[in-house]
Amino acid sequence: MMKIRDLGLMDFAGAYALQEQLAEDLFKGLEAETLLLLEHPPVYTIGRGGSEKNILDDAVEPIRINRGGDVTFHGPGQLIGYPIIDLGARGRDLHRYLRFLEELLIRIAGDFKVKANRFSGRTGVWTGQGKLASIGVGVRRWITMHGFALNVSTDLERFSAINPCGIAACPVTSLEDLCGISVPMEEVKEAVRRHFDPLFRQWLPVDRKSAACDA
Amino acid sequence: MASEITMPKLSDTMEEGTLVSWKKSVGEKVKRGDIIAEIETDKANMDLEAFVSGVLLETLVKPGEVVPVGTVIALVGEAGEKPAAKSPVEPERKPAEVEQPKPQEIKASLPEEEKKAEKTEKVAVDISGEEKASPLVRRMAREKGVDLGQVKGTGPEGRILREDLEKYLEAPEKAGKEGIVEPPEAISEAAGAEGKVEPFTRMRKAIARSVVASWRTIPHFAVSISVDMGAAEAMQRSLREAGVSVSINDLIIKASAMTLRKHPRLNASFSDDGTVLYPEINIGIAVSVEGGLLIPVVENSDTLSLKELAAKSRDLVERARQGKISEPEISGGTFTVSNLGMFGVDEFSAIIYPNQAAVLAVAAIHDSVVVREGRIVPARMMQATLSADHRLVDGTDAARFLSDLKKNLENPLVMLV
Repeated sequence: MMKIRDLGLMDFAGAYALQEQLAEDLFKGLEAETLLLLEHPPVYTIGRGGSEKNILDDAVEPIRINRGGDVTFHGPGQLIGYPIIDLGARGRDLHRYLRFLEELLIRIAGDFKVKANRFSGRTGVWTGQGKLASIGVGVRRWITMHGFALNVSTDLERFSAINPCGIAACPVTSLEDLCGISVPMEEVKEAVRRHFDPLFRQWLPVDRKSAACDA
Repeated sequence: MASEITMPKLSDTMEEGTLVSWKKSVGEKVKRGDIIAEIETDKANMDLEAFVSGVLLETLVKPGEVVPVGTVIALVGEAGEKPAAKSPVEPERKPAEVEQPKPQEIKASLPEEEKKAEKTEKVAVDISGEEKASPLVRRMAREKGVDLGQVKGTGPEGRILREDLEKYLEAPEKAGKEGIVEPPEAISEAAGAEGKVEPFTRMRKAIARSVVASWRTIPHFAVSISVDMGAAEAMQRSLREAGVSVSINDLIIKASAMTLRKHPRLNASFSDDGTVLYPEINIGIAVSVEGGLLIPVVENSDTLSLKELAAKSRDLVERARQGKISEPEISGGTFTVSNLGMFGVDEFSAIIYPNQAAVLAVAAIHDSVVVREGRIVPARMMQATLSADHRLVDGTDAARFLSDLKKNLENPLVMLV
């Protein structure tokens, strides 16, 4: 079973330090693979390759971090998932990992009767009303950091200060907007717990060969 | 001997990767396992580890550059190994413009487009060729029309480095650059018969600049469709009877704008980061004017009523012809319509205005016969040809757009609501 830690509300810097620690310990074999679930206080982050042009409001000062993707917003009402896992032993395929995260989020949305899908060439999870979840991953020695941000009841106004993910006027939506009723964060976390393990085993099984090679 | 660090394949489906940043600088010591660079593929960043120890001798790819998997991006070798024979950084030598022949001057006025062309073009790696050089250098050489055999390599084992190529390109004309292909806009004096040189007007130069930028960077393809304009002409007549003057071109612009709403990827631009989708639909109208052409832009073509659009386009076209149009009125276009119908042409394809995704070339409406429900009937047919940027869309996207455009033009009442 995947170890899942619910951190509640945690600031970006604290969560980042914890991820680094967990990744280091996982590499050394001191820690198991872990999924962190949390919410951040309002913060804008931008991937290393992201463009400042996508910040439309001068007041926004994003934190530049070691993940892929462009600028995005995190805040209360958005479920953050940071899986710290070892892809070195699970097929060493970054794109497959991204597709796995998308699948997980699509299933979760499905539990709330929301039809979400992939949009080829645009990693993330999309609905007819806009982008529901963003994905941005950082990998070192095949160990993952960062992950996904699923809008449950996020204040979507905050996205208007940026070109989300580098796409001008990219529509962003949330589960609550799509469902038209309030969606408790706890229920979404439950859905993550339900879906993560079986999908994880199915999409990213331990590959004995590469595990042996690494040792 | 130096080891090559290549763009890693981080997924079965990864074909190219972006070099986000270098974590070590040239000359710095590298231990096996050290992070030397950050690579991005899709939405995932990977810290690239060195698999050998030594000194980072050279980096061959710049931050932000996208290269195919397997491309050599850096060389790591032994301390003291002289790789690049790096010449001390010289202040950028400005070519003496006075000495340059005319064609060079034209070329010199295009640096931005050319740089852009280099940046955006992603060409498959050419692994043929005798000379040792990285795929990046080969690509640069190909784009510049340089025969690498002519370039002296100063890297390990005579490897041709980017600096070598750049130096070769900068070298004064007299050095004899047989390999260089002159830019197409240059008038070749060796063409035999002596021709009289007619100097370019400013407008001609501007047109040359933008079509060259377009043709060099945008992989064009064209798809055509026949449209029955009978209903559109009938609607135009009844509108005129009701006192509203609308041209066929206005109907085509309106129909294009409505169709673009459904096909946002044709109302877009190519960028290194991905497709830039524009929220507004601003259609440029190619207008033939004295000495060239101008493309005034009808902003928000999709939200204007047909009547408003007609008034706006008439005003813009008239002022363009009189040379009384301002810069903002000819910029900001997101799509272009070029209509040569008044010359009776059957069909043609147009060059995409740089940084747009597509252009619609509209030919004349002519009397024709079509078979409808097994009967031959007369019809007023028109060919429309969409040229599109293949980096952004495929043939099916262009075909779907044209099919929806045809529907709108053949059921023109939708444009009134």
